[in-house]
Amino acid sequence: MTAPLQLRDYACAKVRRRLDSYLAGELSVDVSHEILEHLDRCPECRAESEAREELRASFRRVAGATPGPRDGFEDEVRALLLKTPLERSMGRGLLLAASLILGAGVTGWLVLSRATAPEASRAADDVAVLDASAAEFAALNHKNCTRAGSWPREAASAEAFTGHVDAGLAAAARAAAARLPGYAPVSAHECAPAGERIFHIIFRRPSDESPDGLVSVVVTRPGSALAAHVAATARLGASRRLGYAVVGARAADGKLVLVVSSASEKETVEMGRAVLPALATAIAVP
Amino acid sequence: MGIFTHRPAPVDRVREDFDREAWPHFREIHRAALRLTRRPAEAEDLVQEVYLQAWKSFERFERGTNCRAWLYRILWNVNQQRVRKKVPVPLGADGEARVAETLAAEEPTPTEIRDEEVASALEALSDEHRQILLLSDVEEFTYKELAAILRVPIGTVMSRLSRARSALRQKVRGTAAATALLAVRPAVEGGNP
Repeated sequence: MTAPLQLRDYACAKVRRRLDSYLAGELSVDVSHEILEHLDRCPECRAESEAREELRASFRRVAGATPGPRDGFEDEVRALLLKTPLERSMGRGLLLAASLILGAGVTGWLVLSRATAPEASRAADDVAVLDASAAEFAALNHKNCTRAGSWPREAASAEAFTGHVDAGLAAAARAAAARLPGYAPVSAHECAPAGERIFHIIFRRPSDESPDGLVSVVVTRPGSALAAHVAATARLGASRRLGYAVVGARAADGKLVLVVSSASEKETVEMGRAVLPALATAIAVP
Repeated sequence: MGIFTHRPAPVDRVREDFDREAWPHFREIHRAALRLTRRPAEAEDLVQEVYLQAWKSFERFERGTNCRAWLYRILWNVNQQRVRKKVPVPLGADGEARVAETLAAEEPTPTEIRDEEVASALEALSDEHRQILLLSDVEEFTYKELAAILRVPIGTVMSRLSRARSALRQKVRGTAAATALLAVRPAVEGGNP
């Protein structure tokens, strides 16, 4: 502890009043300089300054050592926001009307891909602008499901799903597996992220045991809120969500098919091109 | 967005903006909420409400301005509402003004303090003091940003901060003195035949 302060000196009192601001770097250069000069020649104030600095460092250590959020909490909030409308006055209706015109003849695919910024990167000239809600939905679901499950290293053939899961789902797994050489299906199930019931097929690249080796194929029901939203923005483009590349398309019957992977933008687009058209006809989603 | 560009911007564009501007601060906002509430469950409620409000009103956020400070302002507001529901917090203007004259007569700050003592002192601080210290010394907001977050004049920020720092030192002195007392007592007893 420093010696008790005898505030005989007006200069000391003045410095003490500003010492905290000085230590926090909140003072002007001139005033800081004045204080520095005083500290140079006054051992009591210098000791007090050092003690406060020590306390400040300790405070920052103590207060800064706060644990981060638990696993999955950020995703829960993201899922909540996905279902929460913006507070806005207009524009949505016009957008939907425009999309109906655009969507009327659309049987093609909306390709969503990985990019550091939506405008910064395109897998190819015909790759589309990503609908951010759909991409976020798919990426979030991929992240949650692949993290939650401990998926087998050696996947069975797609035929193994027949008889164990819904016939439509098994057919989808077979159709997708046939077009993804090097990947094998490890799970086909139904789940309901953010209240939206979907088919979810997970593939693994056999050479890769890390979560990066997993690829998701997500299929929504026709007429889901999400699929309707994608129709509204069904144009070419790109986006990235949660570090994953997402490739997606809206089929003619209104269901939305999305592929999520940790592979490169180019690879994911290739996977999407291979898988999506096949799934469009293979899946009979109820 | 080509021919489908309208005002307001399409939801997916807003979501991209939100992704870029607001999500990177999620962990930090969570930490700040945990420091404010000191209870994990309450911190989660607080963070969820902050992000919900931020998302719903994101179109009112001016792009390119300080999103971190904007999120803290929402955090502060939501937290104030939460605290008001529990105990009314007196924010005395008198208290703000009294600071300057008390500081000069302050006892010296203890040296060689331990982090545990500082942690105890931090716990013993009032919410008002703890919060402004966290915002200033841990989150490193400037006076101007603090004034915007707390919705008070800069002068109030400065005086409240001085008072909070002084209060922290006072608590540390108390904790350090208690620790010293506990450390000395056995030696004294042991010295008696």
